[in-house]
Amino acid sequence: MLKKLLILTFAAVIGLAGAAQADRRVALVIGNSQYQATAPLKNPENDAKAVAAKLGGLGFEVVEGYNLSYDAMRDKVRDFAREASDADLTIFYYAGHGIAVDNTNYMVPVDARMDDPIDWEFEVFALADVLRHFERSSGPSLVFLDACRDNPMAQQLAALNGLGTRSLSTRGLSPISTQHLGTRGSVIAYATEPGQVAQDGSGRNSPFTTALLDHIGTTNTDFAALTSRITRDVLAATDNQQRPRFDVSLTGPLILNAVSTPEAVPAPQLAAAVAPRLPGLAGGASSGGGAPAFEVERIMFETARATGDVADYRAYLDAYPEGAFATLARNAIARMEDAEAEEAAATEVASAASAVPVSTTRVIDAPLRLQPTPAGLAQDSSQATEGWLGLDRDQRREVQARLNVSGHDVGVVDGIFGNGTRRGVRSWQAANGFAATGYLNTIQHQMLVANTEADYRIYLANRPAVATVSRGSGTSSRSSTTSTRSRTSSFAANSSRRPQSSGGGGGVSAADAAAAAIFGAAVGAILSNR
Amino acid sequence: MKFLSAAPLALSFAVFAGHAAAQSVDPESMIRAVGAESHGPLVTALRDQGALNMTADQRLPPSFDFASVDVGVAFDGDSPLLTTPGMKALRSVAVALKDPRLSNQSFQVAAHMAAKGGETQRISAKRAQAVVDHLVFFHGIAPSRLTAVGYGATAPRNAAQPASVENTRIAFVNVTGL
Repeated sequence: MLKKLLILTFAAVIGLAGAAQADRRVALVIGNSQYQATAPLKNPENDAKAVAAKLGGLGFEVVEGYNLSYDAMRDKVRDFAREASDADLTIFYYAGHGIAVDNTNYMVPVDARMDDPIDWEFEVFALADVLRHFERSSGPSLVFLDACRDNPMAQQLAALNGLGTRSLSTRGLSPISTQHLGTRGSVIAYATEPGQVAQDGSGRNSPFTTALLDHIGTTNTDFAALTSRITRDVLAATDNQQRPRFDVSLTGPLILNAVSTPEAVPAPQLAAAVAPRLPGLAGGASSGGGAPAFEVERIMFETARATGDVADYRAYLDAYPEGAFATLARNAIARMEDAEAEEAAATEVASAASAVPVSTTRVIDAPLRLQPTPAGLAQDSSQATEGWLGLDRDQRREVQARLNVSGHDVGVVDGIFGNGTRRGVRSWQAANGFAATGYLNTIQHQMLVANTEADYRIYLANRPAVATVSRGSGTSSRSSTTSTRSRTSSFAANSSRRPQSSGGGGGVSAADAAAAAIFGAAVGAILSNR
Repeated sequence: MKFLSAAPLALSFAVFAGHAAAQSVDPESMIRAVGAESHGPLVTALRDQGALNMTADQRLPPSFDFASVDVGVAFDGDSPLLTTPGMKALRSVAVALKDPRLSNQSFQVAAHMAAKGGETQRISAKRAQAVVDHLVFFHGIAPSRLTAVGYGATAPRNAAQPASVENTRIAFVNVTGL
C-alpha cells in the first residue's frame, strides 16, 4: 500500500512539473494582411509579428510567416510540423481572414481570389490541416484564432452561389472540435464568440491580440487564470461588443512564464507589511512616499517586464545598476537585441535572395535545400573522393541513415559500406542528377546532409534508444553517442531564440527534467521491487 | 570530446567582424568588413606602391592587415564534413559574395583550428577546400575568386589560449589583386 502511495505521489509530481514547465516549445505564427483580391486588413501582420516576438521571449522556437500565399502557407505548416513533432508545448496563432463553411473553418491565404464557384476550396487552407500536426506533439497545445474579422470574401462567395446547399457563416468562425489536439490538454481561443465578427482595431493591434500580448507573459500564472483577464480587457476595449471565447481542456496547470526569482518572492510580503499602498511611481527611485526602496525597484522591474520594452529595462538599470534584478534586466536586453539583429540579418537574406518577394516571410532558421550547379553535378566521384572525406564509422552510420530516410534504402545502419550502401548511394546519385558511381564526393555528402536534415532528425528522435544501449558492445554505444551529438548540435543551432537561462522557463525546466528523470528512476526501482 | 569544438560555433554562427560578435552571419556587415576599402593602413600603403608581393595561395602573415572576416562555420567533430548549421552560415556568406560591392573581388578562404595536436594542418586544408567547393558548386561563386588555404593552428585568434574554441574559424580574406 505504501509503495502504491509512493508511486502515485511521484507520478503526480512528474505530471505537474511536466505541465507547468515545458521543455521544447514551438509556435507557428501566421499573419495575413495584404490581401490581393479582397479587402486588405490593417493589423494581422502587426499582430502576428508582435505575438511572434513575445513568444520568442517566452522560449518558443517560432515558425512565422506573414502575408502568405497558399503555397507559402503549406510550406510554413510543413516546417512547423517537423519542428513540433517532439515539442512539449505548441502554440498556433493565426490572424487574417477566415471563413466557415458547413462548420469547417478555413484560413484565407493572401492570393485567394474566391471568384470561382467550383474551385474556391482549393484556394483556402483548412484549419484542420494545421491542427492535425498537433497530434504529434507530446504536450499541451494552444490555438489562438484572431480570424473572425468581417469578411467580404464570404459574401462574395455566397453571391456566386458556389456553395450549393452548404451553409456559410459570413460572420466569423465555427467552434472546432479538439479531437486533433491530442490528449495532453488544449486551449482554443477565438477572438470573439463563434459566429460573431471581431474587430480589426483602430490602433496597431486588434483588441484581442492587444489583450493577449498584455497578459500572455504574466509570470507564474496558470493560463486558465489569464483567460479571464484577456476577456475583461477585450470587453473593455470594445465597449462590450466583443467577447473572446476560450475552450479550455487542460489536464493541469499551464504556466507559460515560470520564473523562480528568489528575490521576487519575499518582496511582496515585505512590501505588504511596511507599505500597503504605494504613493505612485512618478519619482522613480527617489520616490519619497515612504515606500521601501526595494519595492519601488521591484515595481520598476515588473513594469519593464510587463511592457517588454528595452527602454523600460534600461530605465530600471539606470536607476539600479547594481539592483537585485540587474542581471535579469541585462539578460532581457541582450535577448531583445539579439532578436533584432537576427531579424535584420534575415531580412537582408530575404531581400537579397529574391528580387520579387512573393511574401515577406521570415523563418528563424529557414530549412536549407541545396541544388548543385551543373559544374557541381559533373564533379568526379570515386573511391578517392570518398576517401578524402575520411568518414569514421559513426559518420558512415549517419550517411546510411540519411540515405534510408531519403528513400534510398541501404539496409542495416551498421557503419560498414557494403553492397547495400553502394546501391543506396547510386540510387541517391541517380535521383539527384549525379553520375551513379556508388561513391560520394564532398559536395554530394554536403547535399545529402543538408537535404535530409529534417527527416534525419525525426529518425534520430524516433529511433529506439534501447536497442543500442542493451547490446552494449563498444561500437553500438558509440553509435548512441553519435546520435545524441548530432541531435544536440542541431537543436542548439535552432534554439537561438530561446532565453539562455532563467527569465523564461529554460534553466528551470532543464532542472525539472532532471528531477523528473530521477523520480522516474525511483519509480522504476519501486516497481521492479514489487 | 571532439564535438566540443564544433558545438559553440554551431550555437552562435558568429561573424567576428571587428569587435562585435553578431548572432548570425549578417551579409551586410560582412560586406562592410571585407571590402577592399577595409584593408588596414599597411596593406593599403603596400598595395598602392605595388609592393604587395605575395600570392593568394600562401599563408598570409598575421601582421598584414588585410580586410578580413571570421565566420564560425560548424564542422562535424574534427572532420572536414560541413554540418547543416555550417552550411546555413555559408548561405549568408554567399549572399555577401554575390553582392555587387564584392562580386569582382577575390578571397582567400582560410581555415584555422584550435591547437590540439595531431592533424590540424591537414584537416584545416580540407576544411578550406570543403568551404570553397560548397560556395562554388552550390552557390555558383566563380572558382577563380576563392583560394583555399589551411592554416592549422598557426594563426590563433587567442594566442594566449591556443586550444580555445574561438581559434577554430573560417576567415574570408580579401586578396583581390594578389
